[in-house]
Amino acid sequence: MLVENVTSSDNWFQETDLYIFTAGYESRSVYLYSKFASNLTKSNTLVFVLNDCQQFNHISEVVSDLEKKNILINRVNYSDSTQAHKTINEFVIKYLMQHPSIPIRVHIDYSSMPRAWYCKLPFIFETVLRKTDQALFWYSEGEYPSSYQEYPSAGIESISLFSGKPSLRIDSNRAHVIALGYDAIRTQAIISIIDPDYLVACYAHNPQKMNVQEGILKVNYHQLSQAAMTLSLHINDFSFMLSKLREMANDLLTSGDVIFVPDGPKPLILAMSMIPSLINKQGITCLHVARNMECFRPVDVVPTGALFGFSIARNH
Amino acid sequence: MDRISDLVKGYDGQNPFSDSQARNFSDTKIASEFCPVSNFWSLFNDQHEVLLGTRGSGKTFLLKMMRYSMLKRVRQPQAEKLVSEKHFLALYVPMHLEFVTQITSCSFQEQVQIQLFQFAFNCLLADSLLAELAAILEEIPDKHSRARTNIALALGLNNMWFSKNIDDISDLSSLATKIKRLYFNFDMQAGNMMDLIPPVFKRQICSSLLSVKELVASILDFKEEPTWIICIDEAEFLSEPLQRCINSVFRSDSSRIALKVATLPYYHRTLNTLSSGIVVSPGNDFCYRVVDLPHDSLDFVALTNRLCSHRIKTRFSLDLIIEGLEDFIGVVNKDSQIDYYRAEVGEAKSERCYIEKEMNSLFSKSLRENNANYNFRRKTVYDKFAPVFFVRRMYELSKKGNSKPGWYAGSVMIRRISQGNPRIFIQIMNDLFEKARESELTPKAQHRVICDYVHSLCESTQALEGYGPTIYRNLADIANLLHQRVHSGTLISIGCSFILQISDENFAECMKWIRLAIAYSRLIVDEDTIINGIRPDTKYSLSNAYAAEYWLPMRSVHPIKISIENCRVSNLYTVSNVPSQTNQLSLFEEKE
Repeated sequence: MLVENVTSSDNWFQETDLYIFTAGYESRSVYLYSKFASNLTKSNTLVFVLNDCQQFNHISEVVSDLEKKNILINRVNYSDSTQAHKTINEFVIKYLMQHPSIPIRVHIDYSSMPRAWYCKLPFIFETVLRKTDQALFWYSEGEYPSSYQEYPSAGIESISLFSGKPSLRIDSNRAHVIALGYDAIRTQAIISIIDPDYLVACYAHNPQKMNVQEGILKVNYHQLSQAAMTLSLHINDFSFMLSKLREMANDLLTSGDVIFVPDGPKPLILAMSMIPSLINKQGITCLHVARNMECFRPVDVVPTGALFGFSIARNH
Repeated sequence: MDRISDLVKGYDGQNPFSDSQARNFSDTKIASEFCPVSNFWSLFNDQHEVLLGTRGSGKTFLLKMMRYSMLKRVRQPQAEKLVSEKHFLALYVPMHLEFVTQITSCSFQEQVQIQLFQFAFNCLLADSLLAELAAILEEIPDKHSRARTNIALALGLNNMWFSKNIDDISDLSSLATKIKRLYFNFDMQAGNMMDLIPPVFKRQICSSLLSVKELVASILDFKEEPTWIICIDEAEFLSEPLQRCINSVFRSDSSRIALKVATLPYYHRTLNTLSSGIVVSPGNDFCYRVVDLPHDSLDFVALTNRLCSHRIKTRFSLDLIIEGLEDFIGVVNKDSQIDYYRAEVGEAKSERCYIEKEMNSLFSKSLRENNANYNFRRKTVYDKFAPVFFVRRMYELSKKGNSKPGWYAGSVMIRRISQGNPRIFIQIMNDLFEKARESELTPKAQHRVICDYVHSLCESTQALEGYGPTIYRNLADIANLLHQRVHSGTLISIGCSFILQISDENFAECMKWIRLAIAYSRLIVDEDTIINGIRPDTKYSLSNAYAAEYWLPMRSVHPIKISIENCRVSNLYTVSNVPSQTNQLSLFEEKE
């Protein structure tokens, strides 16, 4: 799989491009849509609206706009990743078959997609796309409220294996690579469950906004003090993020199993989730921690206007 | 005062207490730090047991050390006897979270998940068996004989596990590779390739051992078949259906196989077996055993001394004369409460008669009148009230300007705060060592380190899985209530214990957070409560870390009754995005 960074000015949206996005409770979920709206038609757009988000104003505006264009709206449950993957797969395959000789680009705005959906997409596209096609993943940076209330989401039951396979080595060491975000309490709860042997703390931020990095370091002071190693990554450089994580995983693997526990901004979650499948070696796994479905409190994340993207294509 | 910690001043090498997680230790490190507690040797028996212990209580250490390969490194008569007799051979089978969730994350029905678990467990057990057999073979002095036995074992096990016609292995090592290949080539997510798995790996857990244990005894020429002890670690991660697989072994005729299942208190969640309607009975089919140590037990004192002396010697010099914690941090007189009190208030004010006079002035009028008639004032008055009085006075002292007493200090106090938990002990030692790099570890310096540690531990309560915010708020409410009783008004006999009055309709919901608080050492209960469950009249004590944070006497006398209706059940917490302008740390900041 070839992974390259792209910027939003790179040939923006072309006539034969496809656009896939999810409208969710965060207002940033429709930011990129607002940029592309004039180019979108029934045949080049696949939109998901999460069932529990339809009451939000920005969603109803988008839905009404899409309906005017006769664009089909897929109303799905947050947890139904299998259905979402199937729909995306079928939509892209159908489009490619309709355009057998034209290189196609698929834009995916994963800013508000559930992680179980978007983390599998690169590998779905890797099998679906032809050598001349590209999938472009876009993330709309968002601003969180200065403080908000949450329910704890981390219990043993909320943790699942997303990718990779643990080794059968009884005496091997294990390194846990845990991503940090603003929710230090959630992170600490995860740490209290997994009880890491060797903790690698990892965070990503926009290098243009040093206050974000300072904030992460401050709220996660306790977690960082527990870590044997800390990795700071840039959210706008997905390609480097991926290669750095890959390099670290390979290094740690020589001492034992490596377990990724992603969190924080979505590009970091995506990169960490991809590593086990990219390396494809015994002992590298990725665990996902699901949100609290019983007591979920949506937090609006407003777009800052910054878009970070990367493209994937099949190896030639 | 002589303190070995004075040697640490200016030292810039690695902190010997920086690692507190036994899972990550090499076998060599585990063996070298091993201090067999009295519980340990009695684990070698034929009984199925569920070992209940809080996080960091040393369960992993115990189970890892039971293996033959580890026992033979221990120079102790009991270990040497176990190694030479080979009546008990233990295999370590950890249930790591990623190992379990690869099965529980599948969207398969329960029955398929059970099949997958049986397969994965039996592979892991087979791998563990091969590792121990390799360790036993090392004992055979003649290399030809060793090689012959190795091949005989490998071929025999291969025939039993796979097919007699397939001769694709040459020794135990290649057989281990074959087991790993079998495991890795099976796609758990697909889950529909069970036909490709050899039958023995698909049967109930432990069948990979059951099928070969007689053969192993025969090839290794054991006089009698040993009892195989299967040490299942981290069983708290097993879902209920997977725990039923273990219960089924408890219930079945397990034929010289004994399971030792380590888990957190209240995480052995079902007594059901895989057979509908058949349940296991504690006391008959298996026993519960609590592995947490009392902070003042001889075992914990010996263990902490061993940890301290071994790690300091390893870092500095093996010739260093250090027998334990007291040598590292120093001792004030006899290291009792009165000694630290005397060091703060002076000789005159710490005389018993002076203290009694002061205490008397703090008693209620009726108590003062009654006390005058007591014959044995030492026991009935001084011993009963002095611990409360000391805490009151020291707290007052701590509130005066910048003055900090040297109260939470000394070896007894460090062990108390550790609550008999080796991991907490190592974490405190880690902080003390860091402090010793920059200054002398005087009682005042120790006090500051311990205060910081207990504050951090209490704050981290908010982050406990699932019910952290509820536990955090309720324990803070309870601790504040006890603090009021201790420090306001007349002097009363009180500790950090209480009884919760919970209405019937709230009971089930409250049990969730209370059990979690016990599992993570925030609340302390007796063994009976850990084994048989919480009752309406259960007596709880705040952990000693909480007692220190809220300046409460660390004793469990005269529990007060607290109505749970007064406790908050909100499980919300606040996530704060710290603005760059502030320099204040606001982890777990409250904004209610």
